Amino acid sequence: MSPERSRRGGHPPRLALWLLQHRVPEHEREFLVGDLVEAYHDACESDGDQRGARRRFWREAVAASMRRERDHQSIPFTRGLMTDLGLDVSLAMRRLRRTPGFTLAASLTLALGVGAACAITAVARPALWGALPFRDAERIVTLRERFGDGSLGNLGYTTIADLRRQSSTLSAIAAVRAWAPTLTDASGAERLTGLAVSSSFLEVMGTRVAIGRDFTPEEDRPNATAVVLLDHGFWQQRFGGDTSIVGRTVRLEDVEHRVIGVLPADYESVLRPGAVILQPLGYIETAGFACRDCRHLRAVARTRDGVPIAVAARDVESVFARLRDEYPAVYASHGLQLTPLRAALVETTRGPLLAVLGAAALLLLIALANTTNLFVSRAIQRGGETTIRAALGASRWRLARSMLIEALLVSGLGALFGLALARAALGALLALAPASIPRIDQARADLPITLLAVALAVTLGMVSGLLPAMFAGARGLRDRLAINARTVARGAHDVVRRTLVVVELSLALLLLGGAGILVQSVQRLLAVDVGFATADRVQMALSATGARFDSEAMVRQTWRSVHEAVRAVPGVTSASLTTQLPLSNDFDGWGVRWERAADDVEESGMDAFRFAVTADYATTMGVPLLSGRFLAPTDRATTDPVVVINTTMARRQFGDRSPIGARLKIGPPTSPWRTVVGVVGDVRHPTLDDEVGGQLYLPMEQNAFADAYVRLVVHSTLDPGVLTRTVRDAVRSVENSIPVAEVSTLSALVDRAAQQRRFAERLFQAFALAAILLAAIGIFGVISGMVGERVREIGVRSALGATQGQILGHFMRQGGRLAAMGIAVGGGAALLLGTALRPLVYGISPRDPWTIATVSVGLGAVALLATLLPAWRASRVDAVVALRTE
Amino acid sequence: MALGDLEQLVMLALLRLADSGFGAAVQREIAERSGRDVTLGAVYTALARLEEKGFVRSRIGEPLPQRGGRRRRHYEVLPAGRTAIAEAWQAIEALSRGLRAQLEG
Repeated sequence: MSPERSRRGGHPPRLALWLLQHRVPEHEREFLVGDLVEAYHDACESDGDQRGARRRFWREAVAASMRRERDHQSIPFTRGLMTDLGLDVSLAMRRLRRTPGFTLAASLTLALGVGAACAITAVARPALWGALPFRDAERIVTLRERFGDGSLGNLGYTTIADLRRQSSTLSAIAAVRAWAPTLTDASGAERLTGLAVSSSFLEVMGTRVAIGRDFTPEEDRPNATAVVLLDHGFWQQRFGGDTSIVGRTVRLEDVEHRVIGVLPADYESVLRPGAVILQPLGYIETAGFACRDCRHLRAVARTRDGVPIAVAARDVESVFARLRDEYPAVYASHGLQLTPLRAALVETTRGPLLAVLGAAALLLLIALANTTNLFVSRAIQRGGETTIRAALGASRWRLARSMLIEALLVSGLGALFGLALARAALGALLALAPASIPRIDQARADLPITLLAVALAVTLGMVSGLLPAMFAGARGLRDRLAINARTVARGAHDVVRRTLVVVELSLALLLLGGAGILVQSVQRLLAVDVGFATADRVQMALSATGARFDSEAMVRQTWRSVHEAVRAVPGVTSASLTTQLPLSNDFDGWGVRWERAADDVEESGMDAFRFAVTADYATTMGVPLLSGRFLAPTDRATTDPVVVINTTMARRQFGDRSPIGARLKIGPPTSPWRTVVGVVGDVRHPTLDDEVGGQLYLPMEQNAFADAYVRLVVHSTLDPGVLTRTVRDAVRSVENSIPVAEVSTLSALVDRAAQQRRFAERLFQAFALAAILLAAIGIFGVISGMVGERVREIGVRSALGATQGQILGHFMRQGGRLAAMGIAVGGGAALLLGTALRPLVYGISPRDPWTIATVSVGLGAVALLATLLPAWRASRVDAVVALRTE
Repeated sequence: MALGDLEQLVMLALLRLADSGFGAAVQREIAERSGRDVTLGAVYTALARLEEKGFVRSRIGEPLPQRGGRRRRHYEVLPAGRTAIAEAWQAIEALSRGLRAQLEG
């Protein structure tokens, strides 16, 4: 028990005592502190005012510890952590200010790595890790049918209904279908993006309406009252956030729909980005389109609380197995795939996002290597000082600490710059990012990103500051004292520096290789012959839906009139309607049966995309006619059914023989035979990189049904903006209730198709550029450092007769050796890691040796160039000057 | 050598305390007599300076339990110090002569 405690009033404040012990000069500490303690106990005993005594003690303690600066007699304090730390920090700041070049170079290098990593993370985070804005989102799963070839697809309504009835692990299941209603109001017609969903949809998604109410099961039936739910943003923007909208009606498809509620602000339509309106699906199992074969619905479900995904997957698979046994003709060898919602969302983008994140990580590592190198050089420069301080008794920790504090200050600066860089880059990234990245609209440089920047910078700073310190102490003190600056100091630090440069070069090569391969991929992708002309062509989506277009005749008549009106627009070279446009989101594939002349048997051929078009489609699109004739205006509903097929289909079915005159059926066996009258070139559809399949063109007039959704393609040399306006007016003059949507030029359509790869390509290019720059700086720094340290040695050499060429050669060899090692390691790594790029690569091997060889040569040249300057400087060292400095 | 304001107070307090002058006692004496609240640190600074000037001297006492086993440093005024304080006192008296009414009014 301490004497202080034994007295009445307890002991004086311990923290204050500690402060005094550390802050009061030793020569008066005992007496001053003793006085205070004594006064404290006196006060406690005489007045009994312990609180007052404590307060007084604290005041005195603080005053005594503040006194130092004014007291000319006191000796400088060298003990006490706080003081020292403060001293070290201010010393470090002063040193950093004295070397602005170093400070700026190191912090900007860090900023480059940290900024890149943070910006990419901000883009990828919502998709890959960000919490989905649904209650227990990990319980939401998607259900898809798995076909014999392993591909996944939609489900028929009855299949979903059976799963709902028979599954024991799903608490709710909802069917979802895209819906694009036309909203008509005083301002005209607008095509909305929406979803038709089961009444259980919001329950599955774990969302509640913000205003109003959810769909009832009664509303999810055929011919129920038309009701809709509005997206929060759409409600704000279109209806000014007016709460009285609930209960009112909006006119969709010429039918009044009652708005029954508004979704919460944080709801995101992840299943169909941009969907702003929901309506009940309204299916029953007896409906024709609800069959098991009618696979056009997406299914989402919520697993029961506590049921693991794997268990739910087994459960639905076994339910599906029973269905398969019951309906073998429908399900054949199909299976049922249950995928967690998150995994389903990022299925196609996860690989590319991870590849880009990996590239950012590589850049970060290069930045780390470079900063570490800078710190190593700094440690070497300060070698003399460090040695003397060590000799005077400074502990190793103490010596390391000053460097560490510098590193932390530099990294703090780096974090600041990096964050600014990330914020700036994020804007550019979002402009460049393909819409296919899920939840890209949620990408923000928010608090987590800020924390990431700080964490990265601090980690990097610690590593780059501590690594040199570790090696600085590697050699014994006596040795270090013995070595004076004259001697060539080639120790552990030299190995560290060389290793870092080799690492840096190899990482840079990885990035360069990746960039090289991606650049070629995108070039090849864009060089792909899309099969149609893109210049001076504009396309837009039209829809004729709603009560007024109830009859097929009305729809057909409307399209005829629209076609005529647009063709009559001055400046329009040609205009055409089509039910499907290459590289757009349209996807309309059909089964094809060929007639076999010999034995009158039908033979099913390859599936084909159906293009129901007007006769001028080939001209407007610039699709080349290869044999026979294209469709003609004379091919009408009343004339013989005809069809034009693409080259791939013709070759697949007929080889070198002419397909003209052969007959085929599209879709159901009851459909009519169509005679092939011509062959046209292939077009790329639905994506740029998919292998071309069958494509067939038939006259719109001869199609079995009237398509309510079509696209209008216009060829004109008018400015696209002007053209779009006049064409829109022409459409409106025919029918005011036809909304014009998704307007774009054909070249924009093609660009968009390459966007995901182009995004990755640009990023890799930027990273590779930064990497090569950093690597060049790195090798430059190391060789310059070597030259600087060995000026005397060089002097001796040249005094002994070494020529300038020999000295130049010596240092060039040093640089060359480092470059060769880096390139060898990096090349090997590129060959090993190339597969990571597979999802992004087109038309080239992800490990293309030619590319890797080319970038290796390039990087080697840059490395040698970076070596040349310091080596040249070394060769110019004047022996007399060098030796005189001794 | 001139005396600072606080140094004068400390010297006067030491004279009053006779044998038993040490930091905290000086501080208490100043507070009780003059109502001036000076910190102990300031007192020690003044004492150190006075010792340097040769006006006071100090001796170190025995460890005391009420101080947590710490020793006390006792100060005593030297003849030079007495002279200095007397001079300062005289200077003040000479200069303030005739000003009493003004100063107290």
